Amino acid sequence: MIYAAWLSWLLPLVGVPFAAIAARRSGRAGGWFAVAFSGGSMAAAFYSAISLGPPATEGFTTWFPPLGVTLQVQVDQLSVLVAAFVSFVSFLVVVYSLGYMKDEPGLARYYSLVLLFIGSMMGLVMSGNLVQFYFFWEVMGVCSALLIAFWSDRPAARRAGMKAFVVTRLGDSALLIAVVFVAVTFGTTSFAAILGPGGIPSLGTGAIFALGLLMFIGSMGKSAQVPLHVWLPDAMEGPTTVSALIHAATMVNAGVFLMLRMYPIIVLPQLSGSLVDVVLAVGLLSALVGGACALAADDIKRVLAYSTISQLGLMFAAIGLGGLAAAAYQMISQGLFKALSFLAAGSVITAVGTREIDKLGGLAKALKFTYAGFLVSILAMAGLPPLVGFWSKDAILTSAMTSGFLQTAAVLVVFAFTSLYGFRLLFRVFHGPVPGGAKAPSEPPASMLVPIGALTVSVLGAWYVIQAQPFLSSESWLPDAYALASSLAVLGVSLAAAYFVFLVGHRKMASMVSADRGLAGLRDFLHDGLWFDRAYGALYDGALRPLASAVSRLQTGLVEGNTALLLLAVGALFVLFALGVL
Amino acid sequence: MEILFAAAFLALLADIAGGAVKRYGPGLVVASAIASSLAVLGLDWPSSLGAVVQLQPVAEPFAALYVVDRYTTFTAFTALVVGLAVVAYSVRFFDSGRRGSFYALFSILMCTLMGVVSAGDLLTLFLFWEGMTVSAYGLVTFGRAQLSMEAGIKYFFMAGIGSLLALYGVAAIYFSSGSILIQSVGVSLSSSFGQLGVAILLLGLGVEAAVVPLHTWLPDVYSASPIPTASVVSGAVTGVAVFGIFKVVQPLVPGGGYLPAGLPLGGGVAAIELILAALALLTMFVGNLSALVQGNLRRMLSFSSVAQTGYMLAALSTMSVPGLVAAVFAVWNHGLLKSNFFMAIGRRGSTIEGSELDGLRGAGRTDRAFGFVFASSSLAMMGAPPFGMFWSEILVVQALLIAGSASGAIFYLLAAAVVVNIVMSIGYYFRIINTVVFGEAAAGQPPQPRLDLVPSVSLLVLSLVTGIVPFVILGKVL
Repeated sequence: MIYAAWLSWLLPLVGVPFAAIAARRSGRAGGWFAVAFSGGSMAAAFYSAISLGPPATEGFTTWFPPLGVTLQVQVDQLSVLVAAFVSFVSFLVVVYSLGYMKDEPGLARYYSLVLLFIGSMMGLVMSGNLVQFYFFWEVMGVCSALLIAFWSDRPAARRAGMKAFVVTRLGDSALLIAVVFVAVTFGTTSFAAILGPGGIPSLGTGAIFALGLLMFIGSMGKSAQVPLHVWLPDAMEGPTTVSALIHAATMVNAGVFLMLRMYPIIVLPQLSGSLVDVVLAVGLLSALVGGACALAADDIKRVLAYSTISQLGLMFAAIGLGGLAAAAYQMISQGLFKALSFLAAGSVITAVGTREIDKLGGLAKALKFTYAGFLVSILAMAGLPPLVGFWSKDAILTSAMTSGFLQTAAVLVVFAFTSLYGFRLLFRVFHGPVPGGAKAPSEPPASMLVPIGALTVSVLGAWYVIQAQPFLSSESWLPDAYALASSLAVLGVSLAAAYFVFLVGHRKMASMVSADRGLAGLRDFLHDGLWFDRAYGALYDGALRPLASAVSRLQTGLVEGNTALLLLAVGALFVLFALGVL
Repeated sequence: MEILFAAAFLALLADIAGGAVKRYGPGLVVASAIASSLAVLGLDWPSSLGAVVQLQPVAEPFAALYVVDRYTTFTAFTALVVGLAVVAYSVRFFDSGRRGSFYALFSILMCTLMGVVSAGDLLTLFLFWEGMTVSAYGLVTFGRAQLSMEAGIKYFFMAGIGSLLALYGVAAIYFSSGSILIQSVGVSLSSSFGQLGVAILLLGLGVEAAVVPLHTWLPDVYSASPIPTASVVSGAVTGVAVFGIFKVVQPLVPGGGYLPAGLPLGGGVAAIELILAALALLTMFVGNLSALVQGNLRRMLSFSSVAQTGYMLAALSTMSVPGLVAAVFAVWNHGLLKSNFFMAIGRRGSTIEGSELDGLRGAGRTDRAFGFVFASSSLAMMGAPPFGMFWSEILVVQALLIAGSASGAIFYLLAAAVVVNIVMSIGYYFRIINTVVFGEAAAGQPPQPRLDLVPSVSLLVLSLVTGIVPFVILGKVL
């Protein structure tokens, strides 16, 4: 038995009722239960990573007979790497929750859902077949939606939870069809079998393309890629811990993880690169859209959310450019530095009580520790060597350079956007004048500072450990000189630009933009997320709702009408038979 | 069946007595009757899928009367489990007045449901079907509120026409095949008159199963009848009615118990396949679209049931064993959840006004246990894991994709329609959560007694068990 692998996802699930019961008595007790169970899961995941042997799959009992599914774990280089990373971030976020969520009502719901989420995410990473993968994928979606709506007295939070669920389920529908199609065609969904020569590669080209595309649409929903990205900025209505854990570091990576698992399929030679090009295009587009919107968002968490969309886009772009390891590396780096940004942002929100950038400023002095953490996370995001984030970004740029001019240009623009919005956030929140009327901020309690410290240290130094992991160690991470020079140049220029635009000349620039109709329009267009939401709203109000009302009006409830319908059905039947149609 | 029938008389007798016997007697009698029927069922579970055992309690020239196989046993099991929970619920729900007749009718209803499920010939099916309609009508109008009377009349009228059509269909099948055994459906399809007969029979049965456009009675019945009635009609009667359609389809399916596996589909089956597929498409879309714009919780739930019937029909339209399994499994999952939902609404939603979504706003906030059950049930109905409905939706899609790979685009289209409809249903179920559970609490309503929630929670737990260890339940029908 590979006990550690089983324990890593079963432990948090087992902990769900314990944490719920304990938290009903006292929120703190529930929190400590959650810490214990997620800590156990982390220990098990780390043990799996350290003691990794040859790839192994282990399953028992037929879980869902009609699809031939066994409940199984798969231990290989990819799964243990991602599991260790997920459990590490999860553990730190749960510890952080002890302080951040201290006086909130409803902690039983909070901790049980968080543990259910952690267990499902770990179960997804460790699963050895598509059906089990999809099961946990959906459980995560439920946890995510309910946690977004955690502060349910806010109508915006309730709406955001619903929106997240509906939009991600749209993507999931495609994945569901793909999963069942695989099960029906091969009688098994185990990764080993379907990726092998007798599996998906043996299908016709059209079928492979359709399958890969359906799975990618599922990934787009979960990993917030354009045009299914609209739920993620709104998801920031949830507690910041949830944003850090689910909507930055772990769940949103699930789509990338699926593509990593399915990588052998999307690069099959008979597809002649068609699927890879789709992934690349969607990834780059999302990276650009997310980056551009992050520049104009005025809520500290929404900036980070758009940034996540952009970074996830980069990961898909990496996959599209053939950089499997770079995508995985970027996934882990982004998870670490984005979790750090969110936890630091959470401590700002606790200290000041607002998320609006316009009401923040000059916090660096009062919140030194938080500032240090945030600064490190922004530098890592911007790709400063040798922080995590630098290595993978550089690898992505290198492969873009070998791939073509357009790709290189797009990646460089994304880098520029990243530095611009990153430093904008840093300057506007921590530097500059302190806005009048703000309460005197103070550093949060130790339970919140310790996770920030741990993440800061790992963002600074974990690259050394990460690169030594078997999944990544076969690649050379030494940067290409040309790529290094370009990315550093972009970083420098963007930093300087951000300094002048968002710090020194901020007031002037702001009034200049407001005065110019074109610029103000552009700012509002970016601020409103390129009107994706408006388009969906128009589609619902203009098409679905009128249709639903019309269908509803057709059913009058009058007996005469009902009988007429029935007779009409019988009549139609007779006519069809008489005409010989049936 | 005899146990249930006897229980009906005992329930009436107990009602005449006084005191505690009057209060709990009828309910207890019926509950124990259902429980013992369940036990008999459990002891006598058919061991192999293929076998359809025909029983002839009375020697009679041309009828089989009853059949037993895994599908019938499983569906009977579903109906009995739902029935048991509803009886347990009713004991607390009707705490005054004469309720003996309710339990008597309930017991007869259960008895007729068993009859419909295990009917071995079309005449037996028809007779029990009529019994089911009449006893359900009695339950709908029980309490004699004006709205429930109106709903009852509408139901009786529609179901009456449905039965009439069904009888005509049976006659046509007998005319063209010379037999009223269930398997004669297949024989009769060889002539176009017989085909028409089968189609008419399906249409007639479709009234009770709420197939669009014959579903119009259902929202009224679900929203205006007493809560226990709504629970049993939504959880057991509608499901068994779908099983009525199942019984007509089953003999056409190779490997379904009547025909040996591996045979090609018989002549004339394609027409039936097409009719069912078209009706399925119409039913799921009309159900979900209508549910989207409802302001009343019980009407919303009823349109959701219509949509669920659509999924089950879609599975049946594949004319395959996976389709049969998917339909039966969907009946189980939907039965548990919908019945649980109505019982959870409970007394606060026993009137039309009380079940307006806006009136229930925030009820889950003041009453935590209620809120928890409501949120879980809504999630479960959306097909979210770890509840059973998740798997039955997968099974429906599976059946459709298998059929699609064998016979083409129409089933791929249906599969796409099913997943799109599932997403649509999230729209209104999440609205239920956002209004009832998370909404701002209106004037403080008193929490329901916790004991009232026990039957509904038991069904929810069964659904959870089905979701977490699906093989335990599915093993009974595979």
